[in-house]
Amino acid sequence: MTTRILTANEKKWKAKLEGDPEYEIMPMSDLYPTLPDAEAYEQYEQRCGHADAAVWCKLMMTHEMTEMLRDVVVILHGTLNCNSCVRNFHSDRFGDYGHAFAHFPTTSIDRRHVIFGGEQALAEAIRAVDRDYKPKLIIVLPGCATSMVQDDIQRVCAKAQEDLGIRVYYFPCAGYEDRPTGVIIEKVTQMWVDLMDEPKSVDPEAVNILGANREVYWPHVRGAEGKPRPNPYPSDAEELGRMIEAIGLKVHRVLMASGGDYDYIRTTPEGGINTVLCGTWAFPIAEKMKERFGTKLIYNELPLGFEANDKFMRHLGEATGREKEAEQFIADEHEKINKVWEETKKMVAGKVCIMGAIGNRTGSYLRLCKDLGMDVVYTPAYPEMGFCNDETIKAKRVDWDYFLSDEFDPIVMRLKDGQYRDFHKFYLPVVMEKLGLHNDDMLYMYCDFSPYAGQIEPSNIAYVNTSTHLRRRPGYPSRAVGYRGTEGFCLDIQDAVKAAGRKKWPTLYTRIYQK
Amino acid sequence: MTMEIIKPPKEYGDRYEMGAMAGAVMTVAGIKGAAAVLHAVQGCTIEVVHLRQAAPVIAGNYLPLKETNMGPMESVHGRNVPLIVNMGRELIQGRAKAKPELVFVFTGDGPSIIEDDIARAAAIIAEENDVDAIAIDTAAFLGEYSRGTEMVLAAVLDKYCPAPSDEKKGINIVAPHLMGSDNWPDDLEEIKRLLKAAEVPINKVLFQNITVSELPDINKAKNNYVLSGEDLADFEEGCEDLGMPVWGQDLVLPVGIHNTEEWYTTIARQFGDEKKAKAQMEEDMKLVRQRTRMEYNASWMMTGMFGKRVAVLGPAPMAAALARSLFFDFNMRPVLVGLLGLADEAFTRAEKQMEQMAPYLDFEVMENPSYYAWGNKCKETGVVFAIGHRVDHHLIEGFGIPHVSMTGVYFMSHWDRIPWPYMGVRGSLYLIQELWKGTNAGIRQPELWQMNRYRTREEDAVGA
Repeated sequence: MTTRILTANEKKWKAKLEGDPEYEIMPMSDLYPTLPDAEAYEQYEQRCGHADAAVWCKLMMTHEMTEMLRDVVVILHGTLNCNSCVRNFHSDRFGDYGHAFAHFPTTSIDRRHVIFGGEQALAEAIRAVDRDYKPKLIIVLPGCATSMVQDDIQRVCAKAQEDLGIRVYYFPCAGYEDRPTGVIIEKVTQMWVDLMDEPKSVDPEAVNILGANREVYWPHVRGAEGKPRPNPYPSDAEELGRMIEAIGLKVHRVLMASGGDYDYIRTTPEGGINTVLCGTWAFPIAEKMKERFGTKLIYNELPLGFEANDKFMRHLGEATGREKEAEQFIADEHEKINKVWEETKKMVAGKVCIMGAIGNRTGSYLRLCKDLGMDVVYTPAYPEMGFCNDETIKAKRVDWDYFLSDEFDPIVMRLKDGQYRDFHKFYLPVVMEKLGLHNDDMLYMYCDFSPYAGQIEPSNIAYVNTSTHLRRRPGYPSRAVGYRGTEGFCLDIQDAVKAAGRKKWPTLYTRIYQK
Repeated sequence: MTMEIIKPPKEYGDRYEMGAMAGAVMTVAGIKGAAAVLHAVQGCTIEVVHLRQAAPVIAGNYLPLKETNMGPMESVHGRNVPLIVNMGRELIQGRAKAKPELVFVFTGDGPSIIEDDIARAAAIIAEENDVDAIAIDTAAFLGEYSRGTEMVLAAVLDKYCPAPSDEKKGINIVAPHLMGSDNWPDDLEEIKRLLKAAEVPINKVLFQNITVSELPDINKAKNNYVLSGEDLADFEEGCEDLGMPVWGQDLVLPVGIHNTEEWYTTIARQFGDEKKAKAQMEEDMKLVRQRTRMEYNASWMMTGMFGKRVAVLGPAPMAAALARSLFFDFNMRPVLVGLLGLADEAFTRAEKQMEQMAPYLDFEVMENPSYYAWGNKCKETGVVFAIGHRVDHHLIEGFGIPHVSMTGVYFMSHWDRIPWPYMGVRGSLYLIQELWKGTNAGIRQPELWQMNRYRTREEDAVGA
């Protein structure tokens, strides 16, 4: 990669922060090589202090993957607390995407099992679950306690598999094993590749969509054939599927979109090509599938905006000898949404988007903003949720490797090494002040919620929701993937910019909280 | 007529039962001036944080927390005292305007197993910052939600009430978050209002809106009215020693009119003025009458519910009280009741309360059913709707059965911003509304509306 040339705004910000005792600003391509591996906990401690980000643990993330398989029962060898922590938000709210209720029978261990071992209890639970639930596959996951006391879960599962004649698969995923979300995801994707069988044959025109985290792919839902989706919110996988099928290919498997059975995942390698929605989930699966089955990968992720979608279609066309069809499709889609795209570009001209959080979605949204002509700033913090997370960049290495290789190289505003990581320092009004930005300069993209009531608010800054689960615009996918997603998101931006034009009559949210 | 009791499988459990750390945090969340360091893995702490910033906030307090979120390094090497101390320091020093006076240190499973010295960490936090500090090992394998509650209650008694008080001036209301109502902050307010009206003096609520300096006054109660059927033996023993025994664990919760009559007259007879209690019920009934009498919609709702077969799943005291109210107040048929609990006492108390229905209704009671067994039983039994906790709504609606969330912890449950109780006579207005939501959902058929909606010729032609 050549040296990144700063934009006029970026130069201005850099000059403004010159000599600042706390903050620094630089292109991601300059910062990225200097960051330690995300698992270098001690190095991060030294540079950035103790990471106190509370997000989902490894057990929760592993369980999330299993929830999308219908005919599988997951046994937790742990406490009911672990079971309930999974259910309290993660399983409950993620079920809103459409996957069914997750049964999670648990050995409910207590101090006796911690002291004397819980292998016998697990063996009995597996037998009882086979008796009561009659599943096609049993997956066993550990809690922290059973993992720490080193119950030989692998041996218990192997014995049960032999006795019961069904597959009993163990995946080690105790919460304490890993901390950064990206690292956790990269590791837990191994489970799905383990569950795949060697393909009997490979169809070069059959395309898998990987990384459809939490979603439903309606055409593959049990009983969906020939019926319209019952609600007007197509998933992002459905939009990608539309694009794939538009050039004469067929969608083979969508992982981990719910609606699949054990047999569905086992036969994934029969698809000749892997495409990617969420890269954090998909790239590790794709890498492992390439290694084990030789499955071809279209190197592209979460395409938002013209540039990313056009690239995706061209790569797919090249890989399948459908270049002409791809070009035709791109032209047709541009024609359909170009008016909205151009209008949006005008409305956001000169604006800036500052975004952090955990996800690679941030990268895709910022890339879309860049595509719309805006300046963008990435912050390694999630102030809305109350934490700084410097390690998240390298934890999402699969995504940043991709973005940087595809020449998306945002400017990063961060706290200098050794500075106390106080998330308040990334509150948008604070960062705006540091950079000399005003309300009219901004497009604010938030995720689950905004904590800024009373400071900046939708009547004076364009507020756009980027949450996968809360963003809803009928007819458009929620992560804004694909051409339709891009159009829907542009319409959201337009609505937000218009609403922010009033500069008076603040929302109730602000009126409640303002001092 | 029978009440058939179904026991759970011995080999596994699948139900919502948060661990001791969650129970502990929900208990101290009612102490103004308290704060806590959670020394645990991030999956444990994030869910405790979620619960902390829900009902306790409605009940009047926001408990500052700091989490160590230990990863592999801390879990393998241990020796995390400096980390805990640092978290405690940040917790205190970051709040200059309202400096915490009492810091708890709670642990999850990992630190408990590797035996991090939390007592020493708490002592350092206390000394360095001039605060009180209490360390409690709240590993989930040591106990569940109610056990964590009990650990805190016992520890607070130990620290702040070393001896009985000569001054006795009312009752303590204990552990409102264990009632099992997802509306417990507003239910608690109604309980307090009713007790006040019947001249039952309340010493303290353990815990709600109590300051650290008031903690030594806990021992001034005559009795401790525990809003849970669970066995809280350590706390009970501490209370006995302080001459303020636990009382009322067999008493039904005041859900609906039938239960409120029994609850209110019993408690007023014991500690206050029964006549005043009856007068207050009459007064409250006027409001219920005024909002329903001669109002066609209310008549439609209240008699439309008659005879509807309903399932109820929830913590034992709430599920039992709701089932009784459904039957006696609303002429519904609670044919399936799922009781969630830990101690045998929790089940026997709830079942004893439900025996009152047994001569007039055939119903089944499942103790700690797995979600799988519960869902299948709801389907097999045939219920118009099921009342439960928000986390089981996907299960129940997955069977095509409407679900109404009323039990379990308050977190992303009923989304209701209107401060009104389920409990007491006045709460029956809320019950009417919620029970009608379930009944009405059972009557309406939106899937068929979608299939049968009007289509133009063009739509028909393309088979949209």
